[in-house]
Amino acid sequence: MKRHRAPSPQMETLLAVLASAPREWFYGYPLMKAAGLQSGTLYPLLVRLEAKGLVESEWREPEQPGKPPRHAYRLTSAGVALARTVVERGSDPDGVRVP
Amino acid sequence: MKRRLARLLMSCAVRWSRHPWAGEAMRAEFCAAEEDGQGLRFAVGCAWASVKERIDGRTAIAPGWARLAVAIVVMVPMAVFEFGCGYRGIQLVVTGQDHYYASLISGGATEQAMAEAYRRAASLMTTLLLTMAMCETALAWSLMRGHGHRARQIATCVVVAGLTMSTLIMALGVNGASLALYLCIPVAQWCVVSRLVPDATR
Repeated sequence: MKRHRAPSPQMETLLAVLASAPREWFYGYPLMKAAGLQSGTLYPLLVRLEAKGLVESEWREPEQPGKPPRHAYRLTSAGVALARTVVERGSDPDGVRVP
Repeated sequence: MKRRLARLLMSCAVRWSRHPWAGEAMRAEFCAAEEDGQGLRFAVGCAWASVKERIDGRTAIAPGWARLAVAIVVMVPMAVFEFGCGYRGIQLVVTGQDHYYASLISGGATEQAMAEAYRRAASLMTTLLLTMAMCETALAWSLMRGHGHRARQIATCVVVAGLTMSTLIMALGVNGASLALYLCIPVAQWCVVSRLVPDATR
């Protein structure tokens, strides 16, 4: 049987930030600052979201030479739908299940 | 110094990361964090995430360090102790000689009556002790292999044997320490086993 878990408050915050501009790509550090999360929290969340197909990612060439390529993230259509539900039902005590 | 420490931690975070892209993504963002004066804080977080990911992965895949520790620290010593007691019980049943038995019959009339009861119960107690010892060994093995259903079944057998042993000990009035040993430890073991290896078949 597949286990369903309610998203954590940190996950909800991250989804809300990503959903604020659903078609835009976010880099990790600005995303971390916007969501008010620590790096140790952000990356496990992004890994989980990507594994569930809620976030897509791609490598971007660096803006300045000599810098490493950056990894950018944005919500997939499933991610956008979930983020909207999470934001809408944020105060619902039953919460929303992450598929 | 702070910058060096941050870079060292970041290298560790990248090396320890088990995910294909997370390590490199962290390294790239570290440059941005460093420019923002938050390099050390960012690196500490990343290192922590990588370590936690590694520990979680190991706990989920391997038999688990906690299971291994409980098996080695609790179950194996209990099995050795019970085999030892069982061996002494066999000596008593077969040859009628045992130090503990000897110390009992050296006392007064009450002690001698107790010793007689102890001798009569010795066969059953020895059988119970050897059963418990074998169960403890099997329990340690099942726990290390992560066989949840089997471990719980064996732990239940140990509890039943321990309860029977405790009843005998109470009836014979042997001593409180033995009662605690055969009653509390099996029950505590059962609780620990239930937590460490949840029954996957249900």
